[in-house]
Parts: sequence; C-alpha cells; structure tokens
Amino acid sequence: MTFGPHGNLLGTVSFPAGGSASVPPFGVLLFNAGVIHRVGAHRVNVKLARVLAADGIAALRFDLHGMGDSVRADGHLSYKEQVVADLRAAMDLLQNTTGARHFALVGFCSGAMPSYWTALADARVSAIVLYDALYFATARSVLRYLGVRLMRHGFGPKAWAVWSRAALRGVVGAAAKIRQVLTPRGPSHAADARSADSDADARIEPQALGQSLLALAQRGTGVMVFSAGTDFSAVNYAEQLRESLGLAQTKHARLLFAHLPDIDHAVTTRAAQRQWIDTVHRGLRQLAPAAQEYTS
Amino acid sequence: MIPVRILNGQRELVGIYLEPAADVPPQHHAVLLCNPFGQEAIRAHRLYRVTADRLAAAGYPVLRFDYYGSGDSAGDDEDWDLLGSINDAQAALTELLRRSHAPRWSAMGLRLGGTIALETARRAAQPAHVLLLIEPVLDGRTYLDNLAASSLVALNRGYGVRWPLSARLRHSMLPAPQTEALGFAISPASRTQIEAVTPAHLLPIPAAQLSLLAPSAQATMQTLAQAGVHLPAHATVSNSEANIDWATDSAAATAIVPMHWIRHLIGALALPEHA
Repeated sequence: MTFGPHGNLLGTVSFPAGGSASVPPFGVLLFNAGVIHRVGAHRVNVKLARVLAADGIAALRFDLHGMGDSVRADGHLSYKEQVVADLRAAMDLLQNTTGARHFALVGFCSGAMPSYWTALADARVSAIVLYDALYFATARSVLRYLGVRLMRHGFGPKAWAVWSRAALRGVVGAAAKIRQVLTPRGPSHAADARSADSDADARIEPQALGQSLLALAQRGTGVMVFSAGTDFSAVNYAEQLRESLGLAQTKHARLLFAHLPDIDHAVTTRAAQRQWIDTVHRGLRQLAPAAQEYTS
Repeated sequence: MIPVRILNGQRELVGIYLEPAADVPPQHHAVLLCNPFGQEAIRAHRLYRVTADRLAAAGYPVLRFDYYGSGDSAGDDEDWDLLGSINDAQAALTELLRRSHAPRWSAMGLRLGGTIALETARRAAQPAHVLLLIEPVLDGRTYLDNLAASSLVALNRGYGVRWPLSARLRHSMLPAPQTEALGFAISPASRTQIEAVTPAHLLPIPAAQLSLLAPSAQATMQTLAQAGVHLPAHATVSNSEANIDWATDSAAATAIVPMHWIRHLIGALALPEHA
C-alpha cells in the first residue's frame, strides 16, 4: 500500500497470524539495506516478516523515499530528516492498520543509523536493531585479522609483497592521522563541526555513540547491536563492539550485543539467513515492551 | 503507481500497475515486465522500476509483478518454479489487459524472465506485438552451472581468507549441492524445468517482432546455429552493449539501469506496425 504525506512511500504490511482481533505487542519496520528494495538482501525481510507474523507480531516492509518503489522526496528536508520522517510515517501506517503502539526498527547495514536517529526522535520506538553497520577496530580485532591472513598467506615471496603494501598503507595512514591530530582547529573546522552535527555523514565517535545507546536503553528503548563475521576485516570477536563503544563493563537488560561469526554481511546462504532471522526474532522478543504496556 | 494484488488460483501475487502519464497521448498498447529469478531479480529491480516509469511517461500502461515464491508475493522461496512463474505471468497479463483495455500488448524479460515472457506469449489468447528478451537464458543447464559457480565465488569473496581456512565454516555454510543459488532455493522441480530450456525454445516465435539483446550477438547467433535454430526475419539479435554480472551479490549497492535498453524497447514499440 502507499502511504506518507503525499502517498509517495510504498510498503507491504504483514498482519499477525490469527486475525486482527487483538492488538499486536509491537510492530516491526523493515526497510532498505543499501539500494536493495524492501524485500531485503536475499529476500530476508520477507522471510523475517512472516516469522514475526506467525508469532503474532505485525510488520511493515517498505522503501524509503527514492528507493525501491517509493517516489523521491521533494528535497525540502536533509537526508537525515527525511529518513526519520519516512520511518515515522511508516509507524503511523502500522499503527493505523494494526493498532500497534510500540515499534521496533530493524536497521540492516545502512538502515542502522536511520533506526537510531528515529529512536532519538520518536518515543513510539521501543526497540532498535543495528546490524553490521558499526565497525570500530580494537587492538585485538586487528591482531585477529592479521592472524587469519597470516595463516592463509604465510611468508612466501607473494605474501611478503602483500605484507609490504599493507605496512606501507599503515604507515601512510598513521602519518595522516598524526597530522590531523596535530593540526590546530581553525574557524573552518568549527564550521565543519557545526554542519556535521546535523548531517548524516557526521563522523561517529564510538564512545559517544555507546553512551547514547546506553541512554536509550535506560530510557526504556531496547537496543540490539549485532554483527557478522564475514572475512574478519570488520568485527571478528564477540566483545569487540561492546569494548569499542566503551560498554565492556556495562550491563543493561535492554542493551543486547550479539556476534554471528559464521554469517556473511549479506546473509548469502539460506543457512546464514536462518541464523540472522532467528537472532533478530529472539532479540525482538527479548526487547518487547511488557504486556501491560501495550494492552492498557 | 497502483499496487495491485493478483490472484492466480490460490497464488497471491503482488504487482505495480502504472497508467499512461496524463500529459502524453495514450498508446493503447500494454507492456508486461517479467522478472528474472532469485538474486538476478533483486539486482534488476531498479531496471524494472525505471523501465516501467519511462514506458508510462511515454503513454504505455505497464504491469510489473513478483512471481509466487519471489519478491513481495506470497509463497516461500522453495515454492518458486519456472512453470508456475509462466502461469503467474499469464494471470498478470490478464490483469494488465483488464485494467488497461489495451488492444495490443508486448513484454520484456531479462535473463530467465525472457523465457517466461516468451512462454507467456506462446500461451496467450491474443498474440504479442513486441518481445524484448535481454540476455536471455538459452541453455538451462549452463545457466544453472553458472549460478552454482557464482554462488561459490560469492562465498569465497564474502568470507575471504576464512573460507579456505575453515572446514567448519564450509561445513555449516556451504549449501547442499544444487539446492540453492546465491541464497535462493532451487527445488528439484524447478531445476528440472530450467534444465529443459534450450535454444530450440525460441521457435516458433510467438510475436510480431522478437528483439534479443545478447552480450555478444555474434556468439549468440553461432550458438543458435549450432543448435539448428534459424531465426525468421521478424527476429533480431543485437549486442546488449553492457557487461553486467546479474548473478552476484558483490555489488549489491549498485542500481543498474542501462538506459539504452529502455530506449530500445520504447523505439520498438513506437514502430508504425505496433503503434
């Protein structure tokens, strides 16, 4: 169905099994990963929506403005403002069609930050799932990545060439980083920082993001951060994201972390898809609002 | 843009119907767009959306839709099969002609969608005008072999050095042979149906004009000749002038729309004999 202020957005509602007699505990929004349309990578959004529907949970899979089958925006809002507006319109639709008053947003890769921004802006968001969007290296993750590459390439002549190039890139990168740190910040940098405050491309500071996610959890909004193992170049051990976000010692019932080492980012095989769907489903169930919150 | 629900017996299909734009003369010529299979359909979504938009802007009513067990339509991946999709396309054509009241119709299909468009035209009560088959599957067995190879490439690329190193990873993630391709199930029935696709299926041509775009027109003509398939005068084979790997997920973040294919289709539809 089409929805939104000008009917520019298009999505498909999965109603909970058993009819619409009872209000679902919450509704789930599924949307684009990159430019893949609303069915998701390898149709995983469709499959998740049906698992949720069988469990009595409503879902809407839809295309953000200009993506998939939705029409482009009018350009009056920034990207960040527009995606938040799109997600709020999607919540309105699911609320009107199913009666759900609490919502979980599942952000697959590029959908993670829009889910986070919307949680900050709309109290109806009871949970967000951030999948494979946050990569912050730690000393341990770098060593593990180098270790697995070393096991593969060894120390032959070709391997030495690979290692030399990698080392050169590392030295150049480190020099640039040092220059950046030592360069005094003038007025132009201040202007950049101000504009970045409201811009979707603003650099993410992991510790600040970690504190913001914790604040959301403390406010009652469930947060689930989970990652794929893929080729070990991004996240390669279970505690990496917790550590890099400064939350290694923080335990909170509404702040979940998971790492699925055997799945790849795009959940290419059906085995990977099953793991992904099961993880999201269990996470959403764990973060669902208490029964009295949605039946009262 | 009108979301439509098409019921093909118990099979519930989802589609999008576009009426001709209001500011151009209506063409009274409906166009059906037939999706490819699996990951190729995911990759081709943008092409189909833009094609539909451009056709509607040129005055043509258009329907694009998802087969049962694919895209947004009902059914699990395991339920998808080639013959069922051809049957779905027939239902979609009926819906398109019912909505548009157009006296003429044409169809476009990419990859396996070309086979589906062709077979739909063959079974239609009303003959098709133009069939545009873009890089169609001419040999089902080769197509399945290539999908299997693409799946392995995707896993090798996705997991990088971990794939050859970890037997446990390969054991848990490598699909049983011949059961899926790039994350989409291939049932034994659909495998058998796809394997049956051969160059001979092009004949007889069920349309006033068939236009086949291939990566290499010359190689395709040789393949057809070796199979003893000689195309009649109202069929043409041209270079697709694109080098696109549709069966990959390595560039999932790219929306691929060769505009010259769309111009080619609109040009063919606009010929006096089809107008």
